[in-house]
Amino acid sequence: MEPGDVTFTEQPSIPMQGRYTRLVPLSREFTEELFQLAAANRIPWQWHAPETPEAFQESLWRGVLVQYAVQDVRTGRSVAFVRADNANLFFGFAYITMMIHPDCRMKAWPLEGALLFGNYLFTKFNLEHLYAETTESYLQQFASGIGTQFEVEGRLRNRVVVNGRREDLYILTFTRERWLAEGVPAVERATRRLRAPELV
Amino acid sequence: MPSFDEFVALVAPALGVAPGDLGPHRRLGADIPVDELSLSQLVLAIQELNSYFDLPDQLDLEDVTVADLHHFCTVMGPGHQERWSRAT
Repeated sequence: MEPGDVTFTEQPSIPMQGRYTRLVPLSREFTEELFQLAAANRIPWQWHAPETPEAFQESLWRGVLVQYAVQDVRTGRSVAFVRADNANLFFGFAYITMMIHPDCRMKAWPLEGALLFGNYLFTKFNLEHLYAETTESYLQQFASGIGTQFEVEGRLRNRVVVNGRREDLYILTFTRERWLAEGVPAVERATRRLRAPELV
Repeated sequence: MPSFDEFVALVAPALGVAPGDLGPHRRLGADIPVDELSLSQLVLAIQELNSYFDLPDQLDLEDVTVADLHHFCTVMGPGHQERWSRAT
């Protein structure tokens, strides 16, 4: 090697696909579907339905660090939306959002996309804390993770109105420390196993 | 493959319950509280026992009994999803 030559060490790629899901860029079709779901109050877009398609488009990309659709590897259908925004890479935090298509709730496997996305964020960026906001009614969908997967950092009483009902807003924290202890092994399990038909 | 008692001992922590709470006829959702996250943990725990385990898409995970889960964990092998799809 000559003086002045520069070599680049290739980074091992960050897994973007697991057994059930893969992270893909948002398509025009899925963006339209998200708008339809938000307008019908079937997903909690900023805790209220978007006023116009233009306002929705603007809010879709405002402050984004990175966002993906979670795609079902079997059908190619986008089943969830994951996003990190309002990041402060100096202090090492960002806010995250996940919305699962109403047709795919309580199916278990779409959450693999959240696992891949968390791994992507903690691997690619200098992040120590990921924050998420949710309301009481949505927190019930994953409350079993309190104290094991994440902490409840704060509670703002009667902060938002969801479908005509005033609700508390909860601030949740996912830490890098907990990610290394529990998330990394879970990602390894999710990515080393292929679905059965792919094995035969 | 694990016996029923071994199975419930291994998956109970994923649901945050004691093995004794997982009788064979108890149903997820109706009898055993579950949420998105605990269902996900449950599937991962069962796949540790049988990497071919998958609930058929046609079944609602919230409405299966513990005995159903043990049955699927015991019988599922390579290609089961394809066979199930052809049969329905």
